[in-house]
Amino acid sequence: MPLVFQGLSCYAIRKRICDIRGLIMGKRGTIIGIVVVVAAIAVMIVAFRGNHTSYYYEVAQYYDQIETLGSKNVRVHGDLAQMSEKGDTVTLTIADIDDASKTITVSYTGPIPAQMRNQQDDMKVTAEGKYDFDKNILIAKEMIMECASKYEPAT
Amino acid sequence: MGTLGNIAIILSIIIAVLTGIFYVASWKTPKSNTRKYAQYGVDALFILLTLAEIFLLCAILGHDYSIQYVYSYTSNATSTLYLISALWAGNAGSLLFWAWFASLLCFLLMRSKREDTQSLVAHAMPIMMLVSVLFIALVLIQNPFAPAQQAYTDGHGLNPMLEHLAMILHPPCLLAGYVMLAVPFALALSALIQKRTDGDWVNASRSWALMAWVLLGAGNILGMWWAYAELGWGGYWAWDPIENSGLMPWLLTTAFLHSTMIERRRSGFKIWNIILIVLAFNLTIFGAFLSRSDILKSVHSFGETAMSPVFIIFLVISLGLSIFLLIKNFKLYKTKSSDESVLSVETSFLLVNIVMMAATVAIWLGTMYPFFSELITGTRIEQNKDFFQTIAVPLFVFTAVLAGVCVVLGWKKRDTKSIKKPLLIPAVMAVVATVIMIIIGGSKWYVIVAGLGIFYMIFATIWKWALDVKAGTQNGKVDFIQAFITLFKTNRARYGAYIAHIGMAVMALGMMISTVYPVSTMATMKPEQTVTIKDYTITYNSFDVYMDQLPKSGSGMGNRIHYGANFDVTKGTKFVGRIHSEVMYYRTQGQYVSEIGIKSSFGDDIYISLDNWDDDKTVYVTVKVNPMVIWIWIGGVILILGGLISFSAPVKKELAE
Repeated sequence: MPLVFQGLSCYAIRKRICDIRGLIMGKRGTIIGIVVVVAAIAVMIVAFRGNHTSYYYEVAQYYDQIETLGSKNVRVHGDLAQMSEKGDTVTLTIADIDDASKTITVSYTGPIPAQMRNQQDDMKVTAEGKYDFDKNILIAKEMIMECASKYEPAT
Repeated sequence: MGTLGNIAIILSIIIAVLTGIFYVASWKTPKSNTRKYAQYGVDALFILLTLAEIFLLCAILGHDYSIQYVYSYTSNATSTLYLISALWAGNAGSLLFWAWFASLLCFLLMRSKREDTQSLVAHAMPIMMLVSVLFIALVLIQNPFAPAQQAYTDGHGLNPMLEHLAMILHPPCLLAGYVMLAVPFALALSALIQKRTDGDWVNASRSWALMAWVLLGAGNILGMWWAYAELGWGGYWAWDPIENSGLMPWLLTTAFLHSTMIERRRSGFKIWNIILIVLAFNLTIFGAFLSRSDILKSVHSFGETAMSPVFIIFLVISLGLSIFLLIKNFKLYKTKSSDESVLSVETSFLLVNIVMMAATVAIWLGTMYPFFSELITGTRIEQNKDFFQTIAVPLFVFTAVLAGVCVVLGWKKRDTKSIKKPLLIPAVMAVVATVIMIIIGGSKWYVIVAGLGIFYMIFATIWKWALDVKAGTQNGKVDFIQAFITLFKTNRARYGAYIAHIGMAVMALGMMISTVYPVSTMATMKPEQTVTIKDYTITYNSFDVYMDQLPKSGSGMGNRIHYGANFDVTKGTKFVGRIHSEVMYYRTQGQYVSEIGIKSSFGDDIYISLDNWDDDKTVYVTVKVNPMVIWIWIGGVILILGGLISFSAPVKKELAE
């Protein structure tokens, strides 16, 4: 290749490199921006890997794989079929919404949301906790109620 | 009333479609009759939907139980205030309110007096009509005028849990805030359609976006207050999908309000601004979709309805159109930064945009995680609140420091030397404040880091303000107070923003301390027994059971039976106050509602929830000492006040500054 072309192509490549470098390095703000984006992604990765998750099941799904799931932290959602209170501990029976024959028993000690005492047929609850295989109950650390703010009344 | 309401709604959807078409047809002939008819259409739409709201209100106030909605949300015993709030308390009513508010915005937007925005408005109006059509279509699906299934003499009544002052204001604030974002969104698309790069759309959008931000902020804070006072779990934010749907547009609007300042003053960030408002508005629609569909098993979910396809069609059109226009005009809107130094307002505002966007993306991913995990793995996996806190806290601390730096930097270009001192002095103050906080008891490492950021945000703002006032005294020629007043009066937009910054920092401080340092205990108590928590002694005095008297007549029994326990709180020998905590039973609804006993102070909130009771007056209670919760509400009020002060400033004046 003639020398002049070599020089040209070198120039062209150098210019291209400068362009790219100018794009990345020219703006110090941009560099900081990239650093922040990377930091934000790092925060997200930390958050996603932090195991802040709960497995969510309907009662029937949970009922069918209770053994496989072991004592994983789970959220189980269903109809509140029965509730008995003794002091600050409640024992609940939660039935599957579609198949009422499948139920699980939940024990919960803590502030009982007042709505849980409501006399309604379609009261739905979510219990979050771990299964105790000795007692055959789900020990709930939290009870979540259907939120009232967008509540459609039974008619 | 039902028939009249239905007629008004059906006519309004026809008018909205025609108005949109007439506007498009008159784009090239602004003086034509077609444009005139289009403008009449906007008036007619507003009148029709106002009539629909009036019809519904009359039906509610007149206890017309032949309408299902009136039966479902009111009863003969509902007080007038709650009867009015029933207008938006239910799904169908909230949709009608939304549609009506959209028509009000169109009506106001059309009357925009500024000459330079006329063509912007004309091109924005079809987009606004599209939004109106969406809401009216939803109203037709979930019709508030639908007839009752049978004849009733009394209604089911409003859900007793919603009988709280915050719940009267929370829904309309949020709904209004959501739909108000439609205006800047429509103006942005209008600019894109016209290929206008003059930034007029940004000026025209400022007031709308700022008011939307105020309303969304107020709506979210009211929701937090209600959850804290009424729900009994002692918290105020659960990172529920629907709560997140209210937060995400607010975050992006915050970024938008900052980012547009760069466009207004330095013609930068044009693409950023369009992307921010497109996302903010579409996220509100997406949030409305989430709460009305079952795709996420949210505790707030409305249950399955036929509305989902309407939402999806709208989102596809709205996002598709925005992306198409943006890609088509991308080169036109590309801007070059005028100030590329690290310590510049542009750099810090760019970082604000990135951080807010990152926070929104992360919250969105966390919110949608159950949906995607089920789609991909077949198992629904939910992220709990620790996930969201892991994301929110570091990003907020960074934003707080950034806010401090940004305020100090100001708009003038400055060299590194002259900026060092004003940046460092607030930093020293923040360190001192943090040391005091550590001495008082806040010694966890993440509290110290967050505290430094929050204090820096507060002191930097106050310090900059003080420097401005000092400059305003003109070396002692004007006295300090006079200088302060003059400065404030002539520069409300800026100092309103400073106040909002301080409010946000105060709120964050309250949130941090109350999240990290609450003390809680459960107790079984008989009368006269005490329980000690932190430095407080709680004595259980008595237990009451009583029924409401019927209003006015004083005879007969009302709807509620109260089960209430009374407590005395002392700190050492000092009497702190009396707390009444109760559970009410609503006979008509067959529903129990707790009324938490809270004794607030600038230090601690004593929070007693009555969990259960026995016939012998034994009570089972959860007692919590939540430190500094009151500062969340105080900070919230300051935040909103700051927003309103900024809003009151004329747009042009700030531009000329």
